[in-house]
Amino acid sequence: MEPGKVNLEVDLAGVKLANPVVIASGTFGFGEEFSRIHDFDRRSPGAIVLKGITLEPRLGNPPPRVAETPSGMLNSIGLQNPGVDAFVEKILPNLRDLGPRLIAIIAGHSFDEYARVAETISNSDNANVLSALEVNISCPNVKRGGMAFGSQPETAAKAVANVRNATQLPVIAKLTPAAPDITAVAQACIEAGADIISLINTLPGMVIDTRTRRPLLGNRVGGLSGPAIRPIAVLLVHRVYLAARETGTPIIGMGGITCADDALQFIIAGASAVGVGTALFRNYSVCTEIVAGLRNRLAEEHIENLADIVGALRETPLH
Amino acid sequence: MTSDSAARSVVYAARVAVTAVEPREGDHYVLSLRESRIAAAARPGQFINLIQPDSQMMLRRPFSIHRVAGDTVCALVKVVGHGTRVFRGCKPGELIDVMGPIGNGFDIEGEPVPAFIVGGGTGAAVLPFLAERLVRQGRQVTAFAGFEHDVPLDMQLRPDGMNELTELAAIGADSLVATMQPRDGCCTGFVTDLLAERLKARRNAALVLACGPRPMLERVAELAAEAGIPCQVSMEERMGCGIGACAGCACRILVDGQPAYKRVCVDGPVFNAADVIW
Repeated sequence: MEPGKVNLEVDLAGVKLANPVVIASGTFGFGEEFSRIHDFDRRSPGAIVLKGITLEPRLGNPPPRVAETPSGMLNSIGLQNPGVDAFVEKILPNLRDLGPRLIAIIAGHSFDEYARVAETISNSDNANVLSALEVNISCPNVKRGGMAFGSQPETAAKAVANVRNATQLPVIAKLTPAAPDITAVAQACIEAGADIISLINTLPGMVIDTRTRRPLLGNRVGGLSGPAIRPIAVLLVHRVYLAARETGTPIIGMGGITCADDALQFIIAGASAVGVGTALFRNYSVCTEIVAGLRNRLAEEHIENLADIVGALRETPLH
Repeated sequence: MTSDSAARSVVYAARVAVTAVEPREGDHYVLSLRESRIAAAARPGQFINLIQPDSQMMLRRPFSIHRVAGDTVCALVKVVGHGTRVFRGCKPGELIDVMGPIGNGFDIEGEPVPAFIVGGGTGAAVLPFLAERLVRQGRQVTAFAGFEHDVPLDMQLRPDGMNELTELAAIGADSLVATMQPRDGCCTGFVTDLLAERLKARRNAALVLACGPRPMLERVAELAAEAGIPCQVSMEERMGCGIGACAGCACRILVDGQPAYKRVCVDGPVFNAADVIW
């Protein structure tokens, strides 16, 4: 089979993507920064999740904000952003012709903040630039909201419901691996109106400078990303897939994806699309490579549609 | 210096061959690679961002552009951890990924007034390239280089018995070297003490440009402010993407009198010293 014949199109609850690769929030700014790179292919991902937006502008956390860790990276940016008003007035209008589908992601300190940010974006003249709204109930780097909401089904559902009631756009709930029962959180989010589930956000972690005996990051704690968390992410995607399969809710799976084979693990585990983030910092062509790799691999196995292998995990043989 | 055009300038990315890894004093080395587009576009104070694609490195490592010669770009590196050890082990011909030139660089447009340039530790990496471009503009240049003990740049003796940087002497730039531990031909103590003396003795420096550890930069900024001379400092911070997308390399800067976090990678690395919140 010709790799060019493979159909990589994805339908995420009505949001159609040219390919399953979604750039994860926080790693791609507001969509234009990577275009500084001379030969960057801005059409390579199927969708881009923009940097997180809050109601008011936020300065972000004190530096240092990033640290390399074994097979990963710890970050604590602290949702630095210009606030939702500047986002809809100054940023959104410039993104109209970016190429891939665009998704805005909302962070909040309070349930009310999620609702107000969603409302401001949805009521703006430029709301049609966006294909979906993601609800970040999983950020480990803020004191209130974020991961604290996403850890329990009740609070997660309330944040999602507030966004659901404030927008006509499809809603994505982004889950934290720190939740004691992530399948219960996923089910609660779906019941509250989430059209799509994405997971996993980063895991909380800390690095200590043993000379100063201080945490290396200015915020003490950061979110761990990169290949170090991939097996955790694959497992949780599979669990959520099994728990939510009956509802037909599509999943965007992410956590340490660096190549087509990594992406396939998530797809076989049950993800309809895959998020890529930290890998971009190492390899700015990673989206292009994953798309090409998926085409080749599926063609080799005579699989015409990517959708055919979503959740196609086989049982291990009994010995 | 923080104009949009500078921040938006093109960044080239390529897999290129290492042309040389030359050891320098202590744990330093000069890494050279061939990338003609970066060499042609580079300005002093900009950096290149490197990764060895077959290594365990997860993030690129930023290095100031040390020297540009033809189509070759050089970085002066000190071994401080995993990444800098990987690059030291590179053989000529080995392929690494480079991105650059990145950042605004020093603003050296305008009247070619005399310049004092200050480099501390691996921050002294910027001195040869910066001095070359300043001299080319017809400026009088005096360089101040400060180190703990090991001096990673070539030195030669002046008639007065003091050391100067060979490369800078060759292009007609004056230089002085300070080391914290006593060393023949070098002034003992902080490089900023040397700068303070010269600022007092000579009134003609009209621009101060510095790169080095934060406490050194803070002192340079203070001295320049006392002398009423404009000063630019090249800041350093741990970086994520190195292209302006992740906001990882935040540095506290005054914007319209209000504190804000600017990105060292694309808003800097060079900032007006008066705007930096120390």
